[in-house]
Amino acid sequence: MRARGILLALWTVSAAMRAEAQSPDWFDAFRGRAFLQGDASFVVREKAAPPDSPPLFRARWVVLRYAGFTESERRWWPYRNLLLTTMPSGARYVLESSMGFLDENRLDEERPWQRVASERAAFEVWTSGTAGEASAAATLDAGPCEGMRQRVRAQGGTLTFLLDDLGTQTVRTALGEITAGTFDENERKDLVLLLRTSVDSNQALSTEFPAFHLRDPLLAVNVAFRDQAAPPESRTLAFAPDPSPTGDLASWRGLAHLPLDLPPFPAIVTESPVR
Amino acid sequence: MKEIFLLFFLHSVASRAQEPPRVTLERIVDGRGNRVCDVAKAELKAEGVRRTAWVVRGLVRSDLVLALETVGPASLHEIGFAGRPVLRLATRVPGGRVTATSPASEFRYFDVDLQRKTVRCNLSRLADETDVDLLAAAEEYGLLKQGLENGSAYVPEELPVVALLAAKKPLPHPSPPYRKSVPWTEGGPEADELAAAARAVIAR
Repeated sequence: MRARGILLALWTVSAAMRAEAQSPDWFDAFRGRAFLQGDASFVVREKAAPPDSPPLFRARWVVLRYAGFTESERRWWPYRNLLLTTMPSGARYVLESSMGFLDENRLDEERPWQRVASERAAFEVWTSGTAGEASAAATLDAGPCEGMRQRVRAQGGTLTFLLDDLGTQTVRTALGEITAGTFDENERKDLVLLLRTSVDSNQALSTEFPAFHLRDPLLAVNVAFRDQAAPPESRTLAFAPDPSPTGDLASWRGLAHLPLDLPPFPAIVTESPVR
Repeated sequence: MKEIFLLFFLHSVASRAQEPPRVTLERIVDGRGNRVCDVAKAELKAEGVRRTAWVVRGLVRSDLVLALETVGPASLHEIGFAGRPVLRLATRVPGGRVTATSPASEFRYFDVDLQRKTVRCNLSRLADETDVDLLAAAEEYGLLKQGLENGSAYVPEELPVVALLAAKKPLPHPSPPYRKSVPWTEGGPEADELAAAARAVIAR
């Protein structure tokens, strides 16, 4: 009887370890030395609000690059495009649009794409496959899971879906259930507010690819809270430069998984086509 | 979702004590009258519960089982091979959200999205988790239906086949082999055994 108990305990531990092993770690995809490519601080208010009115929240936009490939491929190094938001209540959230280390021979493996994290929970969207164009015949033969697909991993559940189906009742309802099981009521209220930020801003770090837009990390909440996505006319919140930026990123190190040392990302020199 | 399975379980316990199910037997033959497969269809109605079980023998290597239980507007479908794990599709109301359950995981979808790749991808995954031969069996069944001379449209018992065909989306067969359903009344022990198999599914 006792031996059976021990065996059961071992099986339970091993099952838990297996389950853990099956869930990839988001931050495993960001290895190598990290660099800071962009850092700007904003306050967010209603577009119609006076400039001296208290902000609805503060946001710090940070772009990190990781030395994942050789120096000559620096333009394609893995990146994390982060929006670090602080609510008046003190609640903090990390919105992230990222691309991790990419192995061209393993494109069917899941890789990080979008993430929303609070102090106590995270909603992650992973992506896998390729979006390559296929011939009509190949499309007919293709399996239902062929092509690029997304996988949500969160405390509230998991879901495999295709981005083309984001607007379907099936996906919207499932995402709603997952976010309800992941974030508490206050967190959901805060995050839904972010849906009202205007995406007409074309603010980007660069005019060349990859451009890193300010709006990219906001896509994460637009996926998570798809059922409550705001129509364009109700996106009335606008970013304005923060007159008193905090400067130090140390307070975000734990929640946003920021490396200790963040030297500036050296500018990419565009090679002249004429030698 | 657990409540819906509990509802079916409680009604099933009540209905098992009733009279034996009615069984009809069919034989599917080809153009020369040779047997392709046999189907036993068992039905039991008791206290607001309707249970049906179809056992298809000879179409694929193992008996393909389609079971349906309805309690009011709610329905629970099962598809699988005899004695092996089954894929379940449960709905509270016709046209409502469907809960598909394999032995390993669950996925919920709306019928209106059945042709979308998200639903197809998840359903095919669940089918494979249940039994790696299940999608191929559904495809064989679909081909059989296409070729049936006196075949009808899919009926509620066949809903899991319709769902798996939507998931797999097989290429349309240019000329499906001719098939015909005939009553099978003089079966002998072979027919008795198949009828017993269908009754056994209902009594589960």
